[in-house]
Amino acid sequence: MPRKILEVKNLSKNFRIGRGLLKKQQQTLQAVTNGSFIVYENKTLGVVGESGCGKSTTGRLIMRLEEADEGEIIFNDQNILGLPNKTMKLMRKNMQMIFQDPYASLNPHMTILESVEYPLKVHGINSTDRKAKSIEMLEMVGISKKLSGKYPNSFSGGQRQRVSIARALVLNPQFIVADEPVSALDKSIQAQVLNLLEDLKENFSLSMMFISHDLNVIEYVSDYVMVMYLGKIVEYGPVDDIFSNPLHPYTQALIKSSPSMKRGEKSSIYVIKGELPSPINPPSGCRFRTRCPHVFDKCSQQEPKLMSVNGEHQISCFLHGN
Amino acid sequence: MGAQPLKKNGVSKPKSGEWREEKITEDEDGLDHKEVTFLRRLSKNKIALVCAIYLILLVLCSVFANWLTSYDPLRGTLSERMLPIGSPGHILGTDELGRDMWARVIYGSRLSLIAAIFPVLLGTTIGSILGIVSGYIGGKIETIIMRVLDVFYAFPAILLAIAFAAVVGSGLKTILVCLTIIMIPPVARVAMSATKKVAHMEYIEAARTSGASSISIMYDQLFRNIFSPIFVYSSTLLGLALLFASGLSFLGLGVAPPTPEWGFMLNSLRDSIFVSPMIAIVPGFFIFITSMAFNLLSDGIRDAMEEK
Repeated sequence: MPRKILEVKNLSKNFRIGRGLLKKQQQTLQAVTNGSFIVYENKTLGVVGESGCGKSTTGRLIMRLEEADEGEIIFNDQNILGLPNKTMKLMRKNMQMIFQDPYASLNPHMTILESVEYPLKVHGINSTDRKAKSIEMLEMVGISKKLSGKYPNSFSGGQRQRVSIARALVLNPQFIVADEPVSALDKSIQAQVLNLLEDLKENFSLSMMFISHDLNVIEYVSDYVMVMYLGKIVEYGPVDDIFSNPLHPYTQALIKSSPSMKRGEKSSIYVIKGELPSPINPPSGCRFRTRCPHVFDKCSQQEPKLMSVNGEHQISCFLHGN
Repeated sequence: MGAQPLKKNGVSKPKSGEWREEKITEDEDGLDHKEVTFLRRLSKNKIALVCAIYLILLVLCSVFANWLTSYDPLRGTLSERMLPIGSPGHILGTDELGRDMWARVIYGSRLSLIAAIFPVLLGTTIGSILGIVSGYIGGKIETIIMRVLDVFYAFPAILLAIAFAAVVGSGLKTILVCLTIIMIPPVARVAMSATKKVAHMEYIEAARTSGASSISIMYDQLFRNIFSPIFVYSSTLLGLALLFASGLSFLGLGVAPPTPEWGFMLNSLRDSIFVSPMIAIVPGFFIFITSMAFNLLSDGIRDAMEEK
């Protein structure tokens, strides 16, 4: 039984939005509701869903860039929510993040060497050691030493992402949250960066949570896949199970509507009917029921729970158990 | 099923040199010299260059005043009062007590320059810190800091100086403290708005995920991003500071006689304006061209700082 590096239980986060001092004008955006999942050691959990489904927020909650309202985040058998700052700082050596926008994730007034060195500086590594380690990391992502004194504006998007990857790995973390790391890159560069991540994952024995809206990328990198819709986890399972036998109507629709690159296959564009409801006022019961082709009475009356249907394959739908 | 798997085993792993690089902009020696670019741009601006040279000469004159004149700025020969400009031995003439004007001007420049530069430096430092903290940490701290600064912002400088002088007496200290206090709120505002622009960027979030403390983030990451707008803004305050300082001295809130100081000299020569107008405006002339030099230089700095 592989070790659990991260176990999340009943994670919820609501954002208060709306201006005005009057309580009336404030609304609650349910970004993530009651999410529970596991990331196993040396495995990649792919998190997929439409924009606004809460996948980025989930990643940020795990990194404690936002504070969860409810739930537990158990990393290396320790609940990191509520940890005192000093302990949390040490925990952070083990968990790092890669961000989506390569043009915003590097400080424009720091050389790339300084950017990669910074986490080491924060943890008290001396100047010579951190410079050596940073140059080593940059070489590992394919950025040569003589470019290390340059500023980010000299680099392309793909190169900047590689610098961000070097920065994320410089502390030798066990776990990485990658929030749409290739979404902003050209397709040809995407493959390079994904392969780099694969290699680094092997070399450094990393566990990863890979967030993306692109099914092709998710299928390529993941060992397990988690599908999210409107703040809830609707399906979870090993990647082959999910793609060969998707059970949740939303997952089925996602896969059907994903454009096919295969020549000869008639690309019929499948559009999921209906519109994405607002996360401020999600539908009662099952949140997907307004767009589901198989909806029936129970769907509006009760909320389905994420339950195991077939080994590690879990689904949150009244069509399958519940 | 629509999803097409990418070829996992077919893609060869690129080695370091095989990465498909897009072009990298390269300077002559391969390094980025931001400071050199700035100075290069600044020196191309003729007006700013002239102003910079004038100010440098002025500073040199004030430092080496002893070598530039043999006259004592404090003691005069009463028989040689109000000699006109161009008199033998007195290039700028003499004042109402027979003191050499050139000596008075260059010794006086010391106090005037100090009264202009010191409050700007100290006010910028304090204002920047308050602004960064307000902008990054926000919340209650921002509200408290900004509201307190608003109180000082609303105070007219002269009123503040008079009130201050009434309590602690007049003199250089009064002027320095008052002007510093006046400089802090506007700098804090500029610093705060510049900080807020970048506080939510992903590289700051990356710094947080590394475990950096707020102080480290403000010092190591944020400050260098807001340095440029603060530097440009503060340079515009120099001319203003000189005018304010001279004005306060003119009103008698500054140094006491016989110490030379341009603002005060302007006041003491007021009575002679109908008798010897050219001498009477000498200190005013220097106040004018020095503050103009500061202002034009700060314009040049702003232009040279424009990010490409």
